Amino acid sequence: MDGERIPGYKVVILGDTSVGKTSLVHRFLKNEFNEHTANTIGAAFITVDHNSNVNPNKRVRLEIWDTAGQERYRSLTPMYYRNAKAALVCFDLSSVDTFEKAQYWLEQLSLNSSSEDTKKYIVGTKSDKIAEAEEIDHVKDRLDDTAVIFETSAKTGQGINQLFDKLVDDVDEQIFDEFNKRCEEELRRESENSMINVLSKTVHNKYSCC
Amino acid sequence: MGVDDVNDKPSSNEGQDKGIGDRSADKLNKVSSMYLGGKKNDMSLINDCGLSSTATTSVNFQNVENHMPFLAEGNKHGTNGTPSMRDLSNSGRAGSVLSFDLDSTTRIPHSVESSYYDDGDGSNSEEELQDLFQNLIARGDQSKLLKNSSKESKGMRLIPDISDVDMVSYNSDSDFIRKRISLSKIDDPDLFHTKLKHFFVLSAAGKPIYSMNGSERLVIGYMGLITSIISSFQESIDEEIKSVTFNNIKVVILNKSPLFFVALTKIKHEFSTSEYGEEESLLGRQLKALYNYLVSILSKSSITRSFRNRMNYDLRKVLSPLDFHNFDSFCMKLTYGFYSDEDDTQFELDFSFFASRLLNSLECSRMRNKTRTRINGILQDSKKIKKDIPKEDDSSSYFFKSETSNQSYLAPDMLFGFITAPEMQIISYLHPKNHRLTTNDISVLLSMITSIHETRKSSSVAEDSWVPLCLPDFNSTGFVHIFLKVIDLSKYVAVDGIEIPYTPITIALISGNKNNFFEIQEISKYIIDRITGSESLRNELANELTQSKSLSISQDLNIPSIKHFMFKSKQSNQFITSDAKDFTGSIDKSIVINLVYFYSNLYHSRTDGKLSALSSNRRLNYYHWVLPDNSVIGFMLIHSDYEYYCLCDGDISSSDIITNSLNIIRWCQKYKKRLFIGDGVTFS
Ligand SMILES: Nc1nc2c(ncn2[C@@H]2O[C@H](COP(=O)(O)OP(=O)(O)OP(=O)(O)O)[C@@H](O)[C@H]2O)c(=O)[nH]1
Ligand SMILES: [Mg+2]
Repeated sequence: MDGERIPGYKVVILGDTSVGKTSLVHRFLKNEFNEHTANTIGAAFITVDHNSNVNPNKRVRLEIWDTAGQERYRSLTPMYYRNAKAALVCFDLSSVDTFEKAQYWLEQLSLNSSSEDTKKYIVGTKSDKIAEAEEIDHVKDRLDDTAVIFETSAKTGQGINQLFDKLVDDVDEQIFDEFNKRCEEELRRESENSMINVLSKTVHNKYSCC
Repeated sequence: MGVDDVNDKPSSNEGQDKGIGDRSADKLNKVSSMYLGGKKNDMSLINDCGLSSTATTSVNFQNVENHMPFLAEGNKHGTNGTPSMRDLSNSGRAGSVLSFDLDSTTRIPHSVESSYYDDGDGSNSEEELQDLFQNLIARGDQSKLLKNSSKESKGMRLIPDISDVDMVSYNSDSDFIRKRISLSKIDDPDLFHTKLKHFFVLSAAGKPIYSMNGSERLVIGYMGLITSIISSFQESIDEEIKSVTFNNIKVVILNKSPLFFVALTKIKHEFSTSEYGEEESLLGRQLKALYNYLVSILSKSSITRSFRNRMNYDLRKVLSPLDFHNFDSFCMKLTYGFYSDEDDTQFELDFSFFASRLLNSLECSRMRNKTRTRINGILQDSKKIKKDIPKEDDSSSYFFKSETSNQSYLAPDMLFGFITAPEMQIISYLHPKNHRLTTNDISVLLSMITSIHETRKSSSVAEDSWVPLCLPDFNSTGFVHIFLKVIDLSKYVAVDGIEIPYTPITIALISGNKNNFFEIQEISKYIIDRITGSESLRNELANELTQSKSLSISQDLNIPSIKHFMFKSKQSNQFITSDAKDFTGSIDKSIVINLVYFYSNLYHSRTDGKLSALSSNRRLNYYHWVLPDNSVIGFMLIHSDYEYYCLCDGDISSSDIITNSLNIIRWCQKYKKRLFIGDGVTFS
């Protein structure tokens, strides 16, 4: 595995086309914003190591799937949220219609058994485009009381680091425990391997977990 | 205005009892009055110009004893010396084309033909070719080489002959381009009518899906009109493509029911048809390219499914702003060789894209064979990567495991692999031994790669894309998945202390299985590691790519008297063009439009004359355009192995054209391994 050993954490970003998913990711990764971001085709995969500010030792390798929101890709999307640890379900705060699509994905996530454990984050984007929070109240009415809406803007950067910090803070300790166990196991086996002096050097299959 | 009259009628089942001819004529008259109505200037212009189509002198040597290509014995008309083109240009028409058709049919064994320029006989053949060319010029004497128009040039460099529009009313090239050529989606009927070119995509029910120009409201107003043209063709619904020309407008309709693709042009060189029918004409190919794009993103079966039982389905629902941008970009580049957005803040000159569609072939990245072979080898090796067996807890399995039997290929579903440089140039291509992608499919794929490239330009985020794409010829009903990664070589060579500008290369790996992204990603890592991990290779490649960006005739070939050329290898269906900048020393929109004009005319002059078996013909042809300030000669040589087209200054002597052209052709053949990837590399 590449360099530092830290656990992977699969994150999927869902939401209607042009709500600003790609812009959100780019602001988070490179602190950049572009007025003319092109629509995503299919999906884009990015990995980045991130630790929370609260606990710098809590560090994961985010494996982010930035999906295309265009309707024609809808049937492919389940393959990206399957087994995801977290889902950022985005809608455009300045175009509340996009919340319908967000709700659709929230429903799909709860219907899908393999996504039961997926942590869901409802992300309102383009907060710079709305003056008041009235619109959001309207959306909140349609969610249950416990739901939190992360208000973000890729343009100003508002709320973006907070969102990803929270994401890492929320990572279950269990994931680290399991990961550490697996590493130890692997080390143990590697030393065994060298003792047995086998013909082939076997490496842990990296794909089985995806 | 009149549009509404047509629109008000139910167009689909109107006039059933009318005679076919009547009906069509009726419709077409309406159409013509639509476009010309209130535009008396346009009408009078056509009459003023009174330009007949270009004159063609076609000589067929079918019956002449040939013992060498280009050599027709007994055909040495006594032309003394080598006449200059300029001497012959003394009359007043729009340019003339003269052609020789040399049919050698089966007389010459193929091996002789293909080695023709390589062997020592070259000089001898050149002599014959010189004779033939002079002969051609001499024969053309009676139809004269012609001057185009007496208009004041006013510093405009655009060819006045592009359309029938009187350019005197425009005060500069950019004025003309802005009003007549540039995209405009605004709600202004006058401006809409002014445009020389229109493309429409609409559903059989007449719902607009795409229009190159005009606001939605404006375009909807025209849908009734267009559907009535279409319905006038309905009698022959089994025919896929139809065209009609009236006055100074040509309309071509590609019927891909439930969709129709319509091109409408006032550009004169787009009026020509191909000997293979309208499908292979400029407009036919353009429409096919738009159709292929739509199929590539949606698949043919899903388009059909969408409209089944829902004739009113709005296909725009499944198209993104990026798709519309791509349509705009295709329409502009296919027609004019450049794209610029509406407010002209961004523009991109892309003559190569135009050339690749004109020649229906692919462009490769120029590279030394040694470097290409190394990259090819890496691509081939990547296909052989084995998947490691997951560990089993029973350690005894180690002892029973043989090296190979338990290991399977990492990605058996990987079908094709490409490494490309920007501007759609292929560096390396991997395919199964028994299957090759068609030129069409590769073009579709390269367009998608370019599209991704463009989206990446603005961002420094390194991401891997996983893109569903339908390859229309490979399988029009399903999708393959493409793993795409762009890397910037300049970052890798920086550690060697070498500074080069942003030099992206793309790794595109095509999988038949949508679920094996991570396997394919692993393969891509291997490829990238091998390319960038070797200091010698990464430097070699960076060096090649920065140097080979453009091919300069004066510097790379040292043949400055030819200003521009295109060479297509027929066997591989790949082409190379020299740097468009060399043509006049700089490049801008007007120059690209002129190049498009010259080559479109030259290309279509191949089909002039009566030819029965074109494939076995070698043809020689030239064009002479006398412009207000200068004159340009276009020369073409079609051989069974290649097609060669070039442009030079009008005062070049005919012997120089031949000699220099043959030198360029020899150069292209000598370095074909550098210029073309041929069949690519295979795996079995
Ligand atoms: N004002 C403002 N504009 C934004 C913001 N985020 C994104 N945009 C703009 O919204 C448009 C769409 O943004 P993208 O990030 O491409 O949207 P997307 O959700 O990735 O769209 P798809 O890839 O089609 O699913 C772009 O023009 C962005 O510049 C924001 O926070 N504020
Ligand atoms: Mg996106």
